[in-house]
Amino acid sequence: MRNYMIRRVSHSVFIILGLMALLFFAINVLGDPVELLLDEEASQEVIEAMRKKYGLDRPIYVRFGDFYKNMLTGNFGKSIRHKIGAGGLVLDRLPNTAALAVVAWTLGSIGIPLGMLAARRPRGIVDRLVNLLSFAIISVPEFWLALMIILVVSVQWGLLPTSGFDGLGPGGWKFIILPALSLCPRVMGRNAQITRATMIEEMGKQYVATARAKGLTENAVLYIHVLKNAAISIVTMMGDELAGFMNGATVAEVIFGWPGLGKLVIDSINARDLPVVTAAVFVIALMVMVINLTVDLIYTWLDPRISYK
Amino acid sequence: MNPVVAIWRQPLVQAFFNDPITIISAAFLLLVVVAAIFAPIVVPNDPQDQQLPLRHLAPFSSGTATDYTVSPPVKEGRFFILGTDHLGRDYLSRLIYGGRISLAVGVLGVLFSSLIGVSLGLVAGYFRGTVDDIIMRVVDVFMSVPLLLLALMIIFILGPSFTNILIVFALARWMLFCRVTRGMVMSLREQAFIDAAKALGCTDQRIILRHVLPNLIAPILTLAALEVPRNILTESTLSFLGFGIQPPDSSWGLMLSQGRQYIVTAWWIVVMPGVAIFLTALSFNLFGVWLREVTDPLQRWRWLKATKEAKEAGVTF
Repeated sequence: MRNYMIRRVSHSVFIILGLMALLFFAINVLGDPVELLLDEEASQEVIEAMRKKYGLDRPIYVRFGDFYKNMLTGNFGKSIRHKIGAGGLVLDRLPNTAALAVVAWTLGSIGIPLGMLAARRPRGIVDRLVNLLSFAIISVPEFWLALMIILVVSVQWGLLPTSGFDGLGPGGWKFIILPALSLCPRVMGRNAQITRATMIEEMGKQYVATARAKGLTENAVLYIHVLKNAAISIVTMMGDELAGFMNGATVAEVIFGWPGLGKLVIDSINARDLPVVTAAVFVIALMVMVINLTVDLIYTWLDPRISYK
Repeated sequence: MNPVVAIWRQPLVQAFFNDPITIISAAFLLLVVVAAIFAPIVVPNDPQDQQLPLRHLAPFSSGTATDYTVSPPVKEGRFFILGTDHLGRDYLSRLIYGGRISLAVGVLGVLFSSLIGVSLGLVAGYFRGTVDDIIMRVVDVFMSVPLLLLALMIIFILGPSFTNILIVFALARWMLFCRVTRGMVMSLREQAFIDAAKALGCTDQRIILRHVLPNLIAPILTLAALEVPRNILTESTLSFLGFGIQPPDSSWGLMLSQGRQYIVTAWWIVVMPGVAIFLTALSFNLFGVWLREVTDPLQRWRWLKATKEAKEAGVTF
């Protein structure tokens, strides 16, 4: 187990290093960092000065070495817009994103019992209803849903503020509800679908016939045997969803003015703030890695047959 | 047997006509695709023609437009099924032209990502070894960032345009096709018919193209049908954030984000493209999931009507 963890972690570290190398080459070879930093109208002198200032006149392999060295020490350079360390800026926003993600994700887990209900009788009336609803939910554009929620709950009913942020303390709860509500339906729909699909698939297997033959009630068959075997797929999906939220909350964060990582990335791209964008990609990839590792650990607990040599 | 009857009795055809939801979604898709392809013929008015006096007309209203392209200007009565936008342009015509771009992005994006993914997956799954290791490590790298972030990064570096959006979908979604293909190829290559082909002296190229690939078509098509709506939705999100299709071109996502400021005064400007995206994505999703279930031999029976033999055998549906 310990050896497996060491191998798994080193694999993830390798992937993040690979990702950052890809990002570096995409920015420096496919594009031109000076062009990303400046407006199109910048004069030749300004471009040259910029090149010198950020050391972009040095050969690419020297810059690549520097980039890696700085990255490993957590130094991504200063934010061009905020004049403070880019790494710190990103870490400040991380708890906000995490809070929104956890609330929306928890609300979204309501989809699991819905999927279980649907799987009881495939192509039955409940199944058709859940199937249609879950597909309807994931076919709605996220930002459209967010705008409609604002229109109804905030503008028409005047119940909650349209947007804003007031810390993560007890006073801030008012601001988290609407963005979380606009994010959770998609997760709910996907959870319902994956639960339904894997449970129906499992129900076709031999052990279900055995369990029924030995006289177990339908509930015991479904919720003890089938559900446990379907759990691996469900956990995988939930891990994917949570990982997606590390950045996927972008639209909700922009619309509701929630100061998370997604909004930071958009603002930094618009401001051509390269160090912050790089730092954000690094931190988001790191979070995704932690989530994937956790999912792997849950696998071993769910299915002891998965042995990690 | 009469060939028409033979086709009618095919399980797939039967499963199709047995399910009203699938028929409706397929019919809607057909309508949208035909409208997109023949847009110049089917639009009632020129989508770029601005009639400022007629702006923000509600759906099902008519007005007198002035045609300034001829001299002297000609006045003519027009009927606007879906109303007009903030510049007095016919909204139905704009919706049809916007659908052209949205559908093109969705379908072409899937085409490119599946081409890359399936070819790499075939190579990785068939040859295994070092090639497989390298390809799968690259897949892991691409999978380690969420879709939207990857898309934003690519647009950040390349700049927003129609072609670059296609590049986004090719680069951001190929991993899925690669993984699925690789998994299936790995199990297929262990089967007897591949050994037989090898024993007959087939080249690797022939085995991959003539024996492995045909077995992958159904699952890949299913995956593709489910990927199209995802691309359409992602494109609308990118357009909304300002990183997608740029004016004067238009897509449903862009129309939606441009209509945001008129949400209170002219609801149809926000509602119509939203409904278009929703219905198209929903139809693709429903059709895709139907395709997945009827091409799975273990699940197909649920979509078929009970046959006489099945009833006699006591199988309940």
